Amino acid sequence: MLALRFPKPTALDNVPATIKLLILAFATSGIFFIETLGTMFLIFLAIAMFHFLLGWQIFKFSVKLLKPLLPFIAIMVFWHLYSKNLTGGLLIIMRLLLIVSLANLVTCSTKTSEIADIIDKILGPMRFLNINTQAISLSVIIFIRFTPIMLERHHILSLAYKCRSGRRPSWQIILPLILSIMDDADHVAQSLKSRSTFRV
Amino acid sequence: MEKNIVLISLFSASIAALGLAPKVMIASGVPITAQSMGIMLCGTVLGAKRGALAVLLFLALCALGLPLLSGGRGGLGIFVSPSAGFVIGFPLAAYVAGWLTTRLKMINVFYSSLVGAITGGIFVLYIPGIIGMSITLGKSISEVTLIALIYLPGDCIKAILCAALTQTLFKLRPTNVLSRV
Repeated sequence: MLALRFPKPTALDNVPATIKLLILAFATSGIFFIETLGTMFLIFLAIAMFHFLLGWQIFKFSVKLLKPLLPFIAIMVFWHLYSKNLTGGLLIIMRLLLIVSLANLVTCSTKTSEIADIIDKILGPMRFLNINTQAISLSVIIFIRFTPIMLERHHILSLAYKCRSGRRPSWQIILPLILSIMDDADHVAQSLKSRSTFRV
Repeated sequence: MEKNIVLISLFSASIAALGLAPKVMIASGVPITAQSMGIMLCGTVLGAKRGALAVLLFLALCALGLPLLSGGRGGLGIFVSPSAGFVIGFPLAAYVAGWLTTRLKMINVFYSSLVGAITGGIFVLYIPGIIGMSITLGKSISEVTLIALIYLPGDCIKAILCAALTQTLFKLRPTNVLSRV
C-alpha cells in the first residue's frame, strides 16, 4: 500500500540495489558537469528512450512522477525568457528532469526491503559505537504499521468535520489527530513494556 | 525508553498524515501544506533530540521509496529536486524549534513554542532551502530568496497554529509534551 513502485515488473528489478544506487550517484554527479545543450539533449533523449523501452505503462508512470516539477519548470521558463537566456534555462530544466527521473527509476524498480537491507548494512558498524540499532528497527516497524492507521484516522476526522460543518476541513482536525496519536503512544508503549519486547 | 521510541515513530507517521491536508500551490512550485507544520510540531512537542529523530525517521522512510511527502512524493528524487534543501533542513528545523521551546521554559508555552517554530521552522529551514533551490535552479542566492519569500506569510500562520496546538496539547496531555517535561 505504501511503496512507490512501477505498475508492472521491469528488467531493472533484477539489477542489485547496490549497483543501481552506485550508478545513480555517479550519473547524478556527472550530469552537473554537462554544460552544452546538445550533449544534455542527447542524454535526455537516451533516458526517455530507455523508459520507453521498459514499456509504455512505465513511461507514462514516470512522466506522472515528474508532474510536481511543472511549476518549477514554468517559473524557469518565464525567468529565462525575461533574462533572454533561454538556452541556460533549458539546460537547467533538462538537468532537473534527468536527475529526478533517474532517482525515480531507481526507487520504483527497487523493493523497499532491498533498500532497508542496505540501510541495515550501513547501520551495522553503529552497533560497535554502542548505538542501539534495535531502537531504529523498532521505530521503522512502528512507523510502517501505524502510518496507514494515521491516514485512515485523518480520513475519518475529515469526514466527521465535513458532516458537521459542510466545509472542507483544514487545520481544525490537526488537534484531534495529534491527541489520538498521544493516546496511541501511551497504549503502545505500555504494551511494549509489558511484553518486554524492547530491551535496553 | 519505550514511550520515547513510540512517540518518535508515531509523530513521524503523523507528518505523513498531515501531508494529506488540503494544500495550496504557489508560484515557485513548493506546495504549502500542513506537513511543514508537522515538522514544527515534532520539535515543539517532542523536544530537540526526539523531534529531530522523528523527522529523520520520516525522511529515511521517504528515501526508501515510500510516497509520504505531500502530493505522494517519495524516493531518492526528493533529495535532488528544488525542494531538496528544505527537505534536508527539516531535522535541523525540528531540533532548533524543540531546543528553544525547552530553553524558554520560564515563559508561557504558547510564546516559547512560537519563538521555537518561527526560528526553527522559518529562519533555520530557509537557509538550506534557499541554498538548495539556488543549486538546483542555477540562480543566485538573492534571486532565490525573493522566490522563497512567497512562503513567508503561510509559514508565519503555520508557526502561530503550531504554538496554539502545543499550548492546547500541554493543557490536555502535559506529560506527553516532552519539550516541557
